Amino acid sequence: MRKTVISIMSTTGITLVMLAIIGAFSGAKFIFISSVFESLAANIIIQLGYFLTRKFESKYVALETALDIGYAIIVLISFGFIFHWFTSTPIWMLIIMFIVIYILGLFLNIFRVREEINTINKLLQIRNKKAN
Amino acid sequence: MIIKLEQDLSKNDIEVLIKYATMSKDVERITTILQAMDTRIKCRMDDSDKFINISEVYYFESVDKRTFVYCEHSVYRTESRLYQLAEDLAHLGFVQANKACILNINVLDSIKPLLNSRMEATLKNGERLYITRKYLDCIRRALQEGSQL
Repeated sequence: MRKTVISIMSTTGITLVMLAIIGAFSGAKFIFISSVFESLAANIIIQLGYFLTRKFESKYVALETALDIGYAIIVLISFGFIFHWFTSTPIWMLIIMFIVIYILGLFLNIFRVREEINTINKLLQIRNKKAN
Repeated sequence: MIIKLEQDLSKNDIEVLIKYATMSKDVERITTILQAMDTRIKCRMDDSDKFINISEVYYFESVDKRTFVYCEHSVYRTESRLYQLAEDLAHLGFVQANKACILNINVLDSIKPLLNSRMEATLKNGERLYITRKYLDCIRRALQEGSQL
């Protein structure tokens, strides 16, 4: 649960920074409060959906990744239609934004997994020392 | 810890009595070791049945709905289903490593990350298995609980 909340908050944070960068380049001056909540809602739905998509396990990692990406894009396009995002942001821009966020998320995950592996290896070393 | 060994010719089986003042992790560990030594699994190899001590099992793997039992140097088949084994053997240090594999954490030597967001576990016999991220947390928790065969 804690990890999911951290993931939602970090991806929402990255989304808002990305939005601010794109907005700054296109001459915008501010982000609407509604955009912040809409981004949060989209990230919550995406992260919760990952609970289901990650139940699917394949020996091909590419297939799992494609499922994650496909699902997230469907959510984003649906949100785009519901909240009229496409009046100000074209679909391709939304997809590029998502891919950038996804890649950043992957890097964050790599660091988190490495930390977890280090903890496991330390625990294993302690056990092996005790066993010997 | 005081260990006393006593020969009693009237006994047909080994009897173990553990005396303790308070239940501790060490007592739990000794109990786990004894339970593991006393737990056997019916396996099949070359059309003959054999009972394998659970502490000898390195991992179980399900391939095409068949469950295989991997020991240090030999492989057997068992009629038990993987999910059933995962439930029954969780208290003896067996954890899920990926969808098709249950690993004995007591034979786990180390884990290293792979580039494709998966992990590779090296076992004490040098064999390698892949671990999916989903189960990494279960492995860490099992190690922290300290059930050791």
